[in-house]
Amino acid sequence: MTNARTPAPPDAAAKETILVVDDAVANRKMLKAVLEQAGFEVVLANDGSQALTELAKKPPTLVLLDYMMPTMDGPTMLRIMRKKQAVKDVPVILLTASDLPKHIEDAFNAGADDYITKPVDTRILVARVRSLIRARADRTKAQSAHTAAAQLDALQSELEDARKTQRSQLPKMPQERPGWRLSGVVIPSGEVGGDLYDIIEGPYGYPVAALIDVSGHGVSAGMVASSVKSSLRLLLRDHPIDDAMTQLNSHLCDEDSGHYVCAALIVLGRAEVAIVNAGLPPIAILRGSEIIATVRACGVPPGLLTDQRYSVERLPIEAGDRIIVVSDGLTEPFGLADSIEETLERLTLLRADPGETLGALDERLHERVRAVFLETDTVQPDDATLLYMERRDT
Amino acid sequence: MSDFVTAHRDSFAVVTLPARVDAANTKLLVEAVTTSKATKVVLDMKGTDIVDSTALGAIVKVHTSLQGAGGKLVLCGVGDGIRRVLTMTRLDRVFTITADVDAAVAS
Repeated sequence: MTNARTPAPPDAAAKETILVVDDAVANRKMLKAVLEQAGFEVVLANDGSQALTELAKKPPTLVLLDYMMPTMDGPTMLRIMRKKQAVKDVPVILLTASDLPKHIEDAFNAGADDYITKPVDTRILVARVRSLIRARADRTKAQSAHTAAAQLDALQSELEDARKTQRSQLPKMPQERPGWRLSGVVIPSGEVGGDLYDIIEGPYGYPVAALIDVSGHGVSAGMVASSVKSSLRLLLRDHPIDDAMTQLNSHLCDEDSGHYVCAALIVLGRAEVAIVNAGLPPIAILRGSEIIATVRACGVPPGLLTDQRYSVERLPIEAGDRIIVVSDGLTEPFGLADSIEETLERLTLLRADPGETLGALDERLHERVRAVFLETDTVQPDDATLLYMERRDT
Repeated sequence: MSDFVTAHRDSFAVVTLPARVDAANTKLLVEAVTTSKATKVVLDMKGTDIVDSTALGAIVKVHTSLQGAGGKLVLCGVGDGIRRVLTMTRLDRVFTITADVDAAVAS
């Protein structure tokens, strides 16, 4: 019995392997010499049974299989091979002693990719071996590309679903509340972002506007933003806004999610607003086209340092006054981290337009937030969010 | 190769930060501080233009951790842009900030 693995040359790892299955010693020797000469590594087996053992050890690149063998013939071995997951796609060339149509039909029915009649023309043999290996490689490459494209499509689809889910969590804007009209814009830097705004029923019967900007961006920041929104809704049922921010800080520090939050809470009262700014750019209160007050951060962003306390700033408010809050995604890309006046100038939002309908205002805000990046040819590196509140006559 | 170069001055490890510190290289910053094994650390930001929110969070964590170990974190060479971010987030009151490494080591 001959069953010798050809000694591996030093670069064997890079070589393609051909499993030659033939019961005739002379044929095995001849095929081995020809294929090695052509640069292939050769493994030998003298019947179908032994070939199956070799296949189980390591799938070859291609199999050269003799049709007629005493123990297990070629077609029988091939049918078994085609049922084995690891080797079912390995190309097989059947070597037939004749070109009888019956033999050729049997070869293809058993799963052969090609056949060669004996006596073998060695140049044709090598050419067909190379051709089948190349075709197989092309097919594998195409399948891999198809699989990668399908995975990418699935990922895009999941991100699109996440984006829709996140959008659905935003309150419907623009909206009117007694004495107030409100609008908001969130433009994430990716499909999903860490910025959110919310309008929450506060503990004293006045709505509370919230802007939440979670550090980082993407899906994980988006998940933290949703969680923060839920926490604030719960906290604001029975806590004033400064306590709510303090509690939020404790929760976030305990959770240790790796994210922190810049946030603002604004109670929209009839004659005054109460504001807590925790890490966001200064909040502007405008009367006409003039900024009459700014509310700077009163403490570090929640989630960074334990035992922080936040304080409320109260400001009188009149009909026509506007309050604008932005996330740092609208200030930092332009080097305006703490300058709300320059930011509003850039957004052309300093000008008041008392006759503007709520719909037109909302449209203008969206257009301006988008335009600020386009006009300056600035890549949007972070989520950009703006919350707009305007006091109306009651 | 890390963009964060660590040197030693007196009892301080001085980590020089690259131009941009963000989510992509924040881990290297933390690694640089951790592998220095020092409890007194200076972050030299003289060549740094941008520190994003992820990096800022990591620097606060480093500060808390060093403080917990009885050490300290000093920021130096902080440019105008980063200083404005620190002021806006009130972190300028949390960190010790000096003009340069000499002042940091003497602090």
